[in-house]
Amino acid sequence: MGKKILIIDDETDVATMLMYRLKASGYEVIMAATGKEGIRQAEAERPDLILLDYKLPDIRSEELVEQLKFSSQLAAIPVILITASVEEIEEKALECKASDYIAKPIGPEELIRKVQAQLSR
Amino acid sequence: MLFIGKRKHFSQKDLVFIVLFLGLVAGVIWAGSYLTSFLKGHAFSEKMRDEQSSLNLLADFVRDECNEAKDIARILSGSPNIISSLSALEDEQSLERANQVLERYATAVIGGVVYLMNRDGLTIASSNRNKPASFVGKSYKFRPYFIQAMEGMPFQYFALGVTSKERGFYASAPVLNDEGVVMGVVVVKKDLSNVGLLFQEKPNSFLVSPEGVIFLASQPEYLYRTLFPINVHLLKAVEESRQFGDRIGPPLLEGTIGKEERVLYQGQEFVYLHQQVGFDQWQIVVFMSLGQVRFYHWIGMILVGFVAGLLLLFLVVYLIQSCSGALIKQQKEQAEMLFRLTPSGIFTVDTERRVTSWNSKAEEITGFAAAEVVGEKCLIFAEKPCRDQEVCRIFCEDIVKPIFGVECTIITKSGEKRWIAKNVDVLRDQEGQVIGGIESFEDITERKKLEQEIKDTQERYNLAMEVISEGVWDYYPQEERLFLSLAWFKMLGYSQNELRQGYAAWISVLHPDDVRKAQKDFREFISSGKDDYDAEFRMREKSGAWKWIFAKGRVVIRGEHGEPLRVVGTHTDITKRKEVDALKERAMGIRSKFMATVSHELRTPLGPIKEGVSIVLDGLVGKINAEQRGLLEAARRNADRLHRLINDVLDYQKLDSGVFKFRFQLEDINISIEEVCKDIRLLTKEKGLSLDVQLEMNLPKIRFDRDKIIQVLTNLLINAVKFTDAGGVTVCTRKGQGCVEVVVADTGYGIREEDVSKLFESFTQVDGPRGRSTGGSGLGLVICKEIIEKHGGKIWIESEYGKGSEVHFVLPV
Repeated sequence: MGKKILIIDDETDVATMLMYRLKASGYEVIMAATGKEGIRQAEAERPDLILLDYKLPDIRSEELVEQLKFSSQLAAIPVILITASVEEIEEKALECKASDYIAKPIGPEELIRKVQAQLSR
Repeated sequence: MLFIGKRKHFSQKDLVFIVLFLGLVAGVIWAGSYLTSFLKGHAFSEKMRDEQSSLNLLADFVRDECNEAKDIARILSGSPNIISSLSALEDEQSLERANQVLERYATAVIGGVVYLMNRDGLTIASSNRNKPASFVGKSYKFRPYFIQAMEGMPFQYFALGVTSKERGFYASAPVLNDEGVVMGVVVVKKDLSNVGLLFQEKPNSFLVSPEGVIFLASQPEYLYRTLFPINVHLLKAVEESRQFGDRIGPPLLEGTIGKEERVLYQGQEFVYLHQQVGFDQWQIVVFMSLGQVRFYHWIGMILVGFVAGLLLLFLVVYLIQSCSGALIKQQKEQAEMLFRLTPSGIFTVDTERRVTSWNSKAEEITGFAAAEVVGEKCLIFAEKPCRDQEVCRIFCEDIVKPIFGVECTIITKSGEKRWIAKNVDVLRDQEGQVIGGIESFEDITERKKLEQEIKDTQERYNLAMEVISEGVWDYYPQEERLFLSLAWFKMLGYSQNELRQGYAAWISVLHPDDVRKAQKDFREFISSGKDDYDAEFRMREKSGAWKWIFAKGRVVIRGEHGEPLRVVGTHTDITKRKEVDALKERAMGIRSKFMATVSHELRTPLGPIKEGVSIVLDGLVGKINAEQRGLLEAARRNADRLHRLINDVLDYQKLDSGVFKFRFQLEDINISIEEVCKDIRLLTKEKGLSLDVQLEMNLPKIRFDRDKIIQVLTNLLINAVKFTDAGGVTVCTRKGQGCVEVVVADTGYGIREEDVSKLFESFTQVDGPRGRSTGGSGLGLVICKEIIEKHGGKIWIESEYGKGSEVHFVLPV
């Protein structure tokens, strides 16, 4: 059985494209369009990895990560930050305590490589 | 002092003269003193002779006096009456006769006493028997004259009378009977008062006994003292003999006779002269005074000194004369030299104002030679002689006092008008009579011209200051003084009287938000050592509105230690410019934001479009046929193109607005090139082109932003591949002068010469050879240029149309 990946992104089209790619590589994918839903999904589904969009409509991504880290069960889940631009991406990732980051547009090879890297740790 | 008149040395001639003259003075002194001592000697011997002869006379007189008494005594001793009176054993009659005889003889001896003593020494008869002081009945047998006469020898000596206490000369003779037996003694006592008078007449004359006791003297206080100190026994014997009374006084002289018969008496030197009286070593002594001789000596010496002094005075006068003569000559020479050498024209005139001298500088300035001018009236070169008093007072008025710095014009010999400045004074003779005048003048034409120029410049400057809209300020940091120009006040709408001039005026109009910073900036500039100052701040107009001011200044004078002494600058009203700038900035901001939003919003949907197409193309959602694939690929290609376009616009916008951040690091550019070429190789392979990479090894490391330079290289290489159909692309690096050069060359279409310059303009695309558009924003090279220039480098294109292009860029080391 494949690993479970949670995508939290309000742009569902983008999330859908990611889902296709990840499913093609044999991962199980669940999606959340808001931060709150993302947290709920994470608590319910216990994913192995979270792909988190930097800019969410309801909650700031660093706050979201903070909440995840607060829960002992969820604290260990690696988070890959997805940003719209390459500007200050490293600072943003550090701010959100993310394990890695990917800039849009997301190339399929880069996505799979980074996901694999986080899951194999 | 104008002339240096000190003569430090005598001339050779003077020296010879001084030596000769001093020799003469020495000669005079020698001769004078020789003559003086000769005359002194002569006077001395003259005096000696005089003294000696008077001494002889005195001695003769005394001897004669004594001899008379002696003779009378001898005669009386043979008188029968005397003899019989002694033989008759003193009977009355014979005594009477004897007395009569004695009386008779006594009259011959003036003031003397004649008496007769018997064998026992008792006086039996005397010429003064009837007088109170009669000798009769008195015994004088202790007297030497008795003792000697009793022995049969006549005797004489001087003594003080025992009875009369008078000095006298005693002469005795023995009275013999027929058998030759001594019967008695006849004595003649001679009064010596007349002799004493002689001694009183002669100063420092003495009658001295063989023992050295003074018996007669010029002064009574000398009597009965010894002349020299004598033996104590002898003194005692003399006192006991009572010859000179009971007491002998202290010696007159303390020492003995010195050299050349000199004795010292009462501190004075005398010559000791003496003459024997003729019996018993009695002598007459005279102290001869040397006073007169000395007087002559001194007179001689004074005369010699006087003459020598006169000669020396003459010498000194001569030398002063000689020196001052030389000094006058020297001063005259110096004056003449000054006349020749002075940079001023100088001439003198007589009372008729005829030129008497004219120096070479005067010739130079006026063009008139001395020969032409001397003897002529000095008006020769005056422009308006003696009419225009303002212009030429010197020639027209009688000079009564010095006149300095008069400026006037002259006409030179060549007819040129020149300005001169002159000083004039009168010349006077020794009595103060005016004998002419002297004028010194300088050519000030050039200075006048300069002055005029300065005046003109000043006028122009003032005019400019009036016209100029900028406020000018002039600051003196040492005194903290600030001058503000009229225009400065005008700029703010004030008249000069409404606001006090100075630093405070500036402060008072500054915006409250700017006042601190503006002052701080200005102070910091003053102490910074920098030359140029600029600042911006707001100042209040009279109306209350705020004006933006651009201040600019420069240190124009610095002190010894580099501290600024004067700073001059302007205050320019830049309110309008500020407003325009603000507008522009806002516009730019809106545009940037717009561009950013648009680009972002354009790009976001592109992601899912591209990704969706890719997922289908990749067969993740089922198989597709060839036709479907073709259409999807066209869709993907165009989506990619749109993506690039949007990226370019975004980059350009970021560069333009300065948002783009650079991270410079010291790196090897060859590594970046190789990295880029790895990706490009795929493209060239696809197109069947070659990619030649020629990198120079050991390039110096340079500071650059790796990502940005990779972007540039990628852009350039993609362009090169894009516009090349056959041949290949070459990338090379080389070391340049303080820089590294990178060249991307291709064998493509090339670019027309007229198009080369357009390439770096925004949104420009050059038509390809077949009029085909290759697709692109036209921003690629503009972005490259921006990036390279941000690195301080340069980018340019060399191209030959139809053959290929070379893009060069250099980055500084």
